Amino acid sequence: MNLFAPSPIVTREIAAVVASYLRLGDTVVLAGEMGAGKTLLAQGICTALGVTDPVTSPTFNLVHSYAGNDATVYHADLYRLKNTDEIADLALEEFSQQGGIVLIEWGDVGDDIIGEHLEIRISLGEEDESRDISVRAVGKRWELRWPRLVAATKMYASTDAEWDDL
Amino acid sequence: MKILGIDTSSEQVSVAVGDDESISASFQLASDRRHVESLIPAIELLLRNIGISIHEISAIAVDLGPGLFTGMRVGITTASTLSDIAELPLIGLDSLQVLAHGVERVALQELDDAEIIVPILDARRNQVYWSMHRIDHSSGGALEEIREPRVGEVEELIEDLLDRSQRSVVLGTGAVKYIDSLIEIPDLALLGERSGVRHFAFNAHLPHASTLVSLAAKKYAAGRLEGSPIAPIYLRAPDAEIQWLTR
Repeated sequence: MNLFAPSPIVTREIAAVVASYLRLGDTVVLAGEMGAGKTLLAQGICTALGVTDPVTSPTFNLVHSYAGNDATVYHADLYRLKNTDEIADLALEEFSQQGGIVLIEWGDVGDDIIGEHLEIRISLGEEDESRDISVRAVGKRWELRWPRLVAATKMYASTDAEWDDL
Repeated sequence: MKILGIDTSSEQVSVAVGDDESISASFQLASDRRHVESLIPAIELLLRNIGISIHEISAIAVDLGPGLFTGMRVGITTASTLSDIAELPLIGLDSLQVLAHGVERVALQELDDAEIIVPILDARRNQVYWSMHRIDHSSGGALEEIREPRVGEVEELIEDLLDRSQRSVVLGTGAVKYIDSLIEIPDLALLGERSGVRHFAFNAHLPHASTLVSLAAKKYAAGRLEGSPIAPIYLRAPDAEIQWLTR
């Protein structure tokens, strides 16, 4: 589904709505060009999950972990990696399997490598601060939740958005 | 001779001290995220209670996997560090071999009318790690590895078992998880099925440090310490360059 955020505040709102549909053990891929707002999405999701520590880009540490209300949130960034072996080394699947929630920036490296996940792709919109956000689900894990997530984000849908009227 | 065994290759942490005949002390914790926190205190607890120091240990044995990447690395790093500090030899064994030999310690009778034992560990996403061991009944049920550890889809394992078409006993987290598909294979039984035993002295479907200790003690006694390097056995998909959709 395709969503539209006219400003960073709305980008964070969308992240929070998505976060409210996350379950323990989920993986979320954050995709998009440099500067598009992947870390902003991660911050929005983390805040909604009850993380109070500052969420910063894990480009250099590869994985940060944060305590949320009910889950440990693992925030990874694959930007610096070159080979699939290096992704495997991070053992991100083990974090999700242990009941954590895993967010992966630059995680659009192939569905077969990441496994079941929700992908949020963010790209620069026509205006300076606006963003186009597309969301897709990969795997059965999302089957039941997907229609509800679509319904919950309907007011942000690109086709339905009436931001000009606000 | 005293061997310190460390097994953190699965969601269970286990530590044991003993030789090839008996285990003096062992510790196990079935928890999937306490590897780092519990390992060193567990080693201290065992040594203190037996009343020996790390310097009285003859060698350290460690499970090299395949298994949980995070767990395996905690165990291997700890074992390597201790062996460096105390100048002790390090003995590494693969998790499937440890799992298979665990049967000798809990339920040898399970193997009575079987030809091979097949340890199978869950590798997630419909994949499993497995190896195969021939049971030599003429030498009291000794196990001989006839298939090295490998990783593959459950379907590949089933094909492998059908090709071999021998009476087999399967065990391990992967065997338990996929037993509904595996049971279709003729002459195959899950560990515990034949005897009806459900509770063993330890979880027989996970590798345990006490088995690691007895296997390593035999190696140590035979003076076979050199050999394969002490590094995690990952058995993962072939390496490739990352292909980002956008970058």
